[in-house]
Amino acid sequence: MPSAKETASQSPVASFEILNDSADLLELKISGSLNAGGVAELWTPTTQKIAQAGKNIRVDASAVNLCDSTGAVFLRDLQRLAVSGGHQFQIDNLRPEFAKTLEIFPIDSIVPKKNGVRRSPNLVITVGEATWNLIEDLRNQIIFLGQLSAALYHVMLHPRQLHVKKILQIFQAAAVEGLPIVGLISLLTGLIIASQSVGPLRTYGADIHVIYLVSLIMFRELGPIMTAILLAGRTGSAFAAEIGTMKVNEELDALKTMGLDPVRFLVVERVIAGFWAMPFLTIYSMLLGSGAAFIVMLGNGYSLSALYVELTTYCNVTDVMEGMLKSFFFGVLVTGVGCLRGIQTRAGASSVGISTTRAVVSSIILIIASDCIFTFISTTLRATTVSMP
Amino acid sequence: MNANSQNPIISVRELVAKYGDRTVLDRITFEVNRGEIFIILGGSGCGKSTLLKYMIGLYKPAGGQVDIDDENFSGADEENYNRMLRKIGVMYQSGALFGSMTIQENVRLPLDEYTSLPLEAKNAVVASKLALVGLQDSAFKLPSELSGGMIKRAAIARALALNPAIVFLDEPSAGLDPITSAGLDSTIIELSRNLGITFVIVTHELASIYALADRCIMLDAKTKGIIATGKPADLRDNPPNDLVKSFFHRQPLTS
Ligand SMILES: Nc1ncnc2c1ncn2[C@@H]1O[C@H](COP(=O)(O)OP(=O)(O)O)[C@@H](O)[C@H]1O
Ligand SMILES: [Mg+2]
Repeated sequence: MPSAKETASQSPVASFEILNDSADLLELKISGSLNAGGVAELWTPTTQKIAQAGKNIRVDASAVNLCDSTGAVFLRDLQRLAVSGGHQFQIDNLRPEFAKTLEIFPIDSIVPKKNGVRRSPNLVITVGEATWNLIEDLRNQIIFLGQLSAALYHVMLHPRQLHVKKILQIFQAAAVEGLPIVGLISLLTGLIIASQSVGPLRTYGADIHVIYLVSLIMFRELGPIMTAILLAGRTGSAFAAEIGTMKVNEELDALKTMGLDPVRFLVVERVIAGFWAMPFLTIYSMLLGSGAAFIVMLGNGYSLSALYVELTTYCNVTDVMEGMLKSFFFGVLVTGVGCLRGIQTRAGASSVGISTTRAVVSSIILIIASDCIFTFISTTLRATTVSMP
Repeated sequence: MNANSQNPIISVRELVAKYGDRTVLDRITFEVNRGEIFIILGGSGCGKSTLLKYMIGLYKPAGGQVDIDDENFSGADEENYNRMLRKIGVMYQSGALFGSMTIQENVRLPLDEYTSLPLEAKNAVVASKLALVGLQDSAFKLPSELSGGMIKRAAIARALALNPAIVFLDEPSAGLDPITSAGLDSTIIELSRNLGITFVIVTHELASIYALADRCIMLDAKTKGIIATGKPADLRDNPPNDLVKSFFHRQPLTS
């Protein structure tokens, strides 16, 4: 039984010797086991020998005591080398059972066919494709926005079709279970900014304004932004992976053929959950960030009432409202992008990974870009309505 | 084929297979002879894939044991298990090709890991295995660019890469057209007769069963055991019970 032991690669198992090297004939004698181990030893020297010889080849295989399919491929490759050089090839004394194995592998079966090999693209093609992909992606995002709006509108007209339980589940995973990490980061950020700015402000005798500084930063900017980035990492990526896996398993196609719109079926609930999860987390983040400043200033000997007066004098509800407004927007953005990247998944496990990465990266870019726009608008409004100090 | 053709290459004794508390197979015993094509039959969900997974040692049995070449396989320690794994090749029901690698790379992976062949030799071996299953033209495609049937054939080529003594195939011909399926059957017969490979195959295709099987067993979800053993023609002509009869005569169960 050749097959049972044939892959074992132990001490030298095969060898070859040159019996006769005349003007137009090279005679080789191959001995030993032609299995993966033996072929590994023989392949390079024998193929080189035959390629260099450039004459008719005769192989004496009388001493071959084992020849599995790897051995058969090896013998066929020797034949291919000789024949492709226009020479004759002959194997003598191969045991009949091995000759049978050889028959299973005809000579053309061992040549890797080159069709379909990917050419490595050049710079022009790469740049062109990247640009085109960018435009295409923008187009897809706009189409998706349209589909999402249509689906949301549909749900508003038919609220019964909404799976409230599903929304609550997603809210639980996205918002409630996100509280610890959002809290930790916000607290840390508040502590860092407060403790680092006490010193510089003290040189002006203005260290009580740390409360003003940190709270304003947390309310208007960092609260919503940090929370949105965390939501992108925790929840947007999860949506992309979940929907991406469904895409790979053809579940999205199944939905479509059942007449169910994947956007309505999979995206709407996630976006609605995200719409509520973000402000929920953002308030928490604002509280802890600003609270951290209180902790630092209490540690610096200020009384709670003085700090409270400082806060209410300089910060007002509109600052919080500005942050909250952003948070609703970011919630839809992050969850929407996560779902979109999931839907855009191609095939295979690696493309799910790519979608997840893309979900997080595009979310962060869009968060920052839209935050710039928000800030620009709010600064302009503030400049026109209130005279800046 | 030779002197020890008589002793079994796989022997399954009193095997109990469970998922959690749920028993899927209850104390089943059978043997697979060296060099034969052995077929596992049974209705959908009766535990055929499960049996295959226990036979290849993916799960530890809750009871009983699986021997390969008279060595305890199911209870082997890691080192012995890895050594014995080299004797087997497996094609999973879904194909389980690696999506990020081309077909050629998929089939070459075991060769890369376990042999010291030069690259061109490995590529020639891969080409020969792909030729066996008629996929020479698809070597540089990704699995996602192949049809379901082509993925199965590529998975068979990968199972054959290291010339294993035993090859396990889970529903190889499901999803194939009759011509490809018949071609695959004759490839399996050729490999079995000429290379002495033992095949353990799960299939429902009656045509394949008649063409391939030296022997078969039939599993049943209700009794969680084997309800018939033998040559398919014998089971067809003398079915031991109604279930076997309706299977081989493609009739619905009347009861
Ligand atoms: N990973 C798993 N966990 C729990 N139950 C399973 C698992 N895989 C299969 N089963 C159950 O075991 C039974 C047998 O499944 P399977 O072996 O896949 O059937 P088939 O004969 O169709 O291949 C089925 O009832 C299935 O529900
Ligand atoms: Mg199955």
